[in-house]
Amino acid sequence: MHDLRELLAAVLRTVEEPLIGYFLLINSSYLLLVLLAAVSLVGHMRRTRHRGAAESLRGRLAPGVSVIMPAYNEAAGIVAAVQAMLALRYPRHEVVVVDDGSTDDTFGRLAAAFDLVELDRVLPAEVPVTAPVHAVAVPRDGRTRLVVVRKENSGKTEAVNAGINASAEPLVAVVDADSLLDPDALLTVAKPFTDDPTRVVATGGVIRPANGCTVVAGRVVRIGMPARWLARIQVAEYLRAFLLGRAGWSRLGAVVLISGAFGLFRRDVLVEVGGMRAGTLGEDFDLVVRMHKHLRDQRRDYRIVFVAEPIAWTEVPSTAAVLRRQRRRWHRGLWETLWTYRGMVGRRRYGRVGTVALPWYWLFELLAPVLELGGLVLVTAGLAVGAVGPGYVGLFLAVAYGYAIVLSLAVLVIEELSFHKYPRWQDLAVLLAAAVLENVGYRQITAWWRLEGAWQAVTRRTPVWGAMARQGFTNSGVDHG
Amino acid sequence: MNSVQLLVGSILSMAAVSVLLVAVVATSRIGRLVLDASRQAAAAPYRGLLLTVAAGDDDSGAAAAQVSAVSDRAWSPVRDAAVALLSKVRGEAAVHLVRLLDERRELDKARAALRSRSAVRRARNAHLLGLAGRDQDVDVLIPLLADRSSEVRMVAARSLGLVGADRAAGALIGALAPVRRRPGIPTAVAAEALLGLGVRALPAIREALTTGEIDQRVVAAMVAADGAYSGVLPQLRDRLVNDQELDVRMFAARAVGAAGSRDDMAVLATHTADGQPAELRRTAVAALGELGDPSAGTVLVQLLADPDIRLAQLAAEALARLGHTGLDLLSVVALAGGRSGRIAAVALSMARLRDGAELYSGVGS
Repeated sequence: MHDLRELLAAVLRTVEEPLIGYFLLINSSYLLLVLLAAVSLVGHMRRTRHRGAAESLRGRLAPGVSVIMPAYNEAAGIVAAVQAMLALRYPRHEVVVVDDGSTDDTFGRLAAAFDLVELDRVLPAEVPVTAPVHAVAVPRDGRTRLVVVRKENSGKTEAVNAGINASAEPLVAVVDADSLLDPDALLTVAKPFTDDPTRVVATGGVIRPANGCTVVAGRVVRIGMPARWLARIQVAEYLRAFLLGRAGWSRLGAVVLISGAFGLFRRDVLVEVGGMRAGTLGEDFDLVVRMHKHLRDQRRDYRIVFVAEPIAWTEVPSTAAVLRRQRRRWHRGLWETLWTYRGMVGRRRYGRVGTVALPWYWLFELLAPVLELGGLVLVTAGLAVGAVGPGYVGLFLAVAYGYAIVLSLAVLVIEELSFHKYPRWQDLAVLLAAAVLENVGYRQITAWWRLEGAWQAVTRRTPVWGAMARQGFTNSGVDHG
Repeated sequence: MNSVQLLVGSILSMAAVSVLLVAVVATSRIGRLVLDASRQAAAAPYRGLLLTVAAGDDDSGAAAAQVSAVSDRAWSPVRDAAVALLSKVRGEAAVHLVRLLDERRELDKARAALRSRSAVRRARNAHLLGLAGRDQDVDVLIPLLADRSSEVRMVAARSLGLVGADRAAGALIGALAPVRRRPGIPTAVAAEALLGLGVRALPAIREALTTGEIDQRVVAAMVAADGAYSGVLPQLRDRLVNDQELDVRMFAARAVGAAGSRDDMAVLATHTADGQPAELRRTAVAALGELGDPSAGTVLVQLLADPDIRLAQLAAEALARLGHTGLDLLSVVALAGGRSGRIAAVALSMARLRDGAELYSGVGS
């Protein structure tokens, strides 16, 4: 016991400073991103009036958009989702739903709602799709710009690729079937393509949790906080990671991740890079990094932009089991992508993506659960055998997580000063509490799940998407907890 | 200071910052709510009057007079509401709103603010002058096309398009060229603004097609294609055949399809041939459909078997636009089966769905 105590004490003495340094670095890097994002958001808000969104709507030359919605067993909400997508404010857009071999009534509901008729349409093979396409259907009125592709189940990546092959417009929006877009989302996210048409190849919008919001006809009509703490904490987490984090990377010109829930891409560039890579779990991350690699290798001048305002609302996991599957999948996808493109790390040829963003993802996203949990285990074990005192442990944890709490609160300040989406005082109080609670338990358990995902990747276990139990959004304006 | 003291100090600092941040969240919300309520209360009595003005129902001018006479404190939210309305209305309603803003000297202030050091202020006020749509502001907006801020240059271009004065056409095309290592305005922004000018932009478009740089020729061809301007057809035909830039040729092909005549069928058909760039071929095929000359049928039928499936599909859609001749040809190919037959059958089905089966009662299967 004495030897163990001595050993742990020695180990702790060795790693104490690097570990604290790591926590300081990770939180400081986030703080930097948050500050960069704040600068961007201030500029964004000041430009609201003269940004020209209304002119874009009247624009005769606005590039057309194909909205691709891969759907697997989405019968609960598919009709409302498609209606909402068709009703988006944009001069010219079509909706391409790819039914990825659903075993529920996804296609049946679409067929009934839109009076679909099947066509024996030949789809170009511009990006790879190995699974057979069974049918292509369009509304009988011949005017509603909806195309439904039915194919054998082969996963989301191939479903998106089938949608790319079936799409007709020069821009392609990839949207999850359960994503709810703000009415002007396409207008705003397409704006960079008009303002900088030769360079912008992809844009991504912000993702916020829809749990707790009132949804009518596929639109969020009242924003609220979820009833369950697990989902509430994810609201705070999404604000930090998806809004401020990505806005910060965009400011640095190094966006490497556009969420699969809502991204807009130039179709010709998607075709050039071969569309989504089959079999990947982090297909959205993989796609954007691959685009960077391809365009940088060709020495082309291009931009990938994050747009903070148009919002895609998505249902986040409200149970631990589903959240665990999601986080394992995300981390495994992260591992696969970072490993696949490891050759880009540190190379000046790939600009800030290679020299800043990817090393950051290796150090502060991929390795974070290992170092975080390793540190916790060491400190706890040290406490158990008496190698360190409870005062030191408390101080250590407070420094490690206190900074993160400050960071989360800073994010809420920026949210309140900019978009202030949560109008009720009660929601604001819950959000503040969630920002604190995120660091107490939630962060540690999700770190463990991420570690599981990394382990699955290392041991090359067969990747599984896993089902996301969704309640769907109805027209009744029901709150989802 | 030992490590424990350092850690304690850090914790205390973090706790203090956390409390401060929570306080900032709360006070910013309270401040915003109070300010919003105050502005709404100040503007409330005038909201209905403003809508009366914007709706063009203020025949006597009484509503405009009352709104114009609001106190300085109430004017700020009323002005914001008026500007917001101005971006949504046209015609007489917009004229009334502009008059109201002019009476409060907002447009004079906007002109003065174009010299502000802040790019955001310059852009915001250029936007307002564009919404106001007064010809007299064109001369102050044109210099902004060379502003040091790309944002201001873009907003100025949009505003000139909104005003729609013909003398802005040349300046808009000129603004596509880089100045002092600053990039020109985006092609789509310039083209959209020129479309706002309508046929008054034709002389500038003609000149750009003849002597312009690449971006200028692209924009001129874009505008000609969307506006279907037959007045520049000779220049467009020349660009289609002789331009070195693929984008110019593609837009020229579209424009010829939109504004051309039967005489243009042959030249468009030439550009559908194998060996031409794929995008140009597709554009030329679509242009043949737009042109609507039945004599293009033979060329288009051959393209149904092209290895480029998108090209074949576009050829089928173009055939469907040639009237009975094209539909008959599609029917024949559809009956023959194979990949071409499938493509033809889909185009026929889509045409029936789109335009109603009764139109095709005498056509094919």
